Amino acid sequence: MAEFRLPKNSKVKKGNHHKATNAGKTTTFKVYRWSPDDNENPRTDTYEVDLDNCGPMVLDGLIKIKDEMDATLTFRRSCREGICGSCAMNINGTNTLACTTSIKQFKGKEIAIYPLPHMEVIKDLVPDLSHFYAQYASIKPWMQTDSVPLPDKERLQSIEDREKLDGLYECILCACCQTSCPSYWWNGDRYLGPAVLLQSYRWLADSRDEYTGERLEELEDPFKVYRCHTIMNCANTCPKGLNPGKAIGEIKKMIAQRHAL
Amino acid sequence: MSYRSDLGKVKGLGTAKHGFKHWWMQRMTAVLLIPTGLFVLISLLRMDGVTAAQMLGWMAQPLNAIVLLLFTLTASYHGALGLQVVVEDYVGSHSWQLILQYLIKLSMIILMMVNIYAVSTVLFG
Repeated sequence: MAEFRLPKNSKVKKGNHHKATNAGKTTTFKVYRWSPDDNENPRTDTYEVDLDNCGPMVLDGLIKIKDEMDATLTFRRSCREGICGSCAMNINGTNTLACTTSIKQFKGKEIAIYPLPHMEVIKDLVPDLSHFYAQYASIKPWMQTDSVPLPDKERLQSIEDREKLDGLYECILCACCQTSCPSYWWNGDRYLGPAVLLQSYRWLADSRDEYTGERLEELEDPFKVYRCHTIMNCANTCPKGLNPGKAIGEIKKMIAQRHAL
Repeated sequence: MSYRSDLGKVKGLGTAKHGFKHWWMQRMTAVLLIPTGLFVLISLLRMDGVTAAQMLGWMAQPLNAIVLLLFTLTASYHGALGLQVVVEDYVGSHSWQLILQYLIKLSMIILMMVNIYAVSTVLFG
C-alpha cells in the first residue's frame, strides 16, 4: 500500500540549535539529520550562518557549517558548478542542486534542507541511489549497433540528427526529477522514473543507434513507462531546465508508431 | 536478507510487452466521451419537466438510443480503465490487486449489461 505517513522511527524531531559567533548578517539553515549509528529518530538541526563570511550558494553555506560549526554534517558534493549532480537535495520544498541555488533568493528566510524525498537515507543528506543507478544500467545507456564501421571511419551524424539530442544529453543524473515524481514514490521498484526514461529516450533519439526496436520492446510495460501520469513535477524541478515529461511522451509516441498508430 | 544484485532486482520478471493498448484505449474513450457526453447532457437539460412517457419516447428514437448506448458503454469502459490504474498505482499487495481488478472488470460488465438491457427494452418493448 502507498505510504502516506512516516513510520514511528522516521518521525522527524526538533534538533540542536547552533548559534553564529560574532556574526553580522546571518540566515538560518534548518537541516535534516539522521545517523544509522545511534538508533535515534531523524531530527532537524538549525544553524545560524554568518553571511558576511560565506559564499553565495546554499552549498557554500553547508560547507561553512561542516568546516566551522558541525563537522558531523554529511552531504555529497563535488564540482560546485552544477555539472556533477552530487549535491542534489530538497531545498525549501524543491529538489535542486545546492551549488546552483543562491542563498539570496530566499531573502533571509529560513532555508530548510532535506535529502531527496522518498529514498532510503544513508546519513543526513545522503540518499541511497543504488536502485536508481541499477535502473539506469538496465536501459543499456550506450550505443548499440550491429553494423561494423570501417576501423578508420567515425559513425557520422548530420547536424539535424545531432540537434535531436539537445535537451537530452545535458542530463547529469542528479535524480532531482526522479525523486520528485509521486508515481516514482509509490512504484519506484518497477517504474523507471523520469530521469531514466529521459536517458532511455536519449538513445532512442540517437540516429547512430541500431537497437531502437529492442529498446522500445523492452520499455513497453504497464509499470516501466505507463506509470507516468504526466504530473510534470519532473520538468518543474529539473535544475538543468530539461523536460523529462516530454521525453516520456516521445517514447509513448514511438511505441504507438510501432503499433501502426 | 537478499544478496540479489541491484540490477537483478530492477530487471525482475522482465517486461510485460504490453501496456500501450490500455493507455491508448483510455485516451480514445476519453475523446469519445466528449461529444457523446455533451449530447446526453444537453438533451437532459432540455427535458426539464417532461413526463415519463415523453422521456421513453425520446429514448426510443434510434439516434438517441445509439448515442445513449455509446455514451454509457464508453463511460463504463473508460471508468474501468481508470480504476485499474488507480489500483495499480496505490495497491501494493498482490492478492488485493487480483481481487480489486476482478471486481472492477466484473462491475464494468454488469454495468454494460444493465445499460444494454435498459436501452433495448425501451427500443424493442
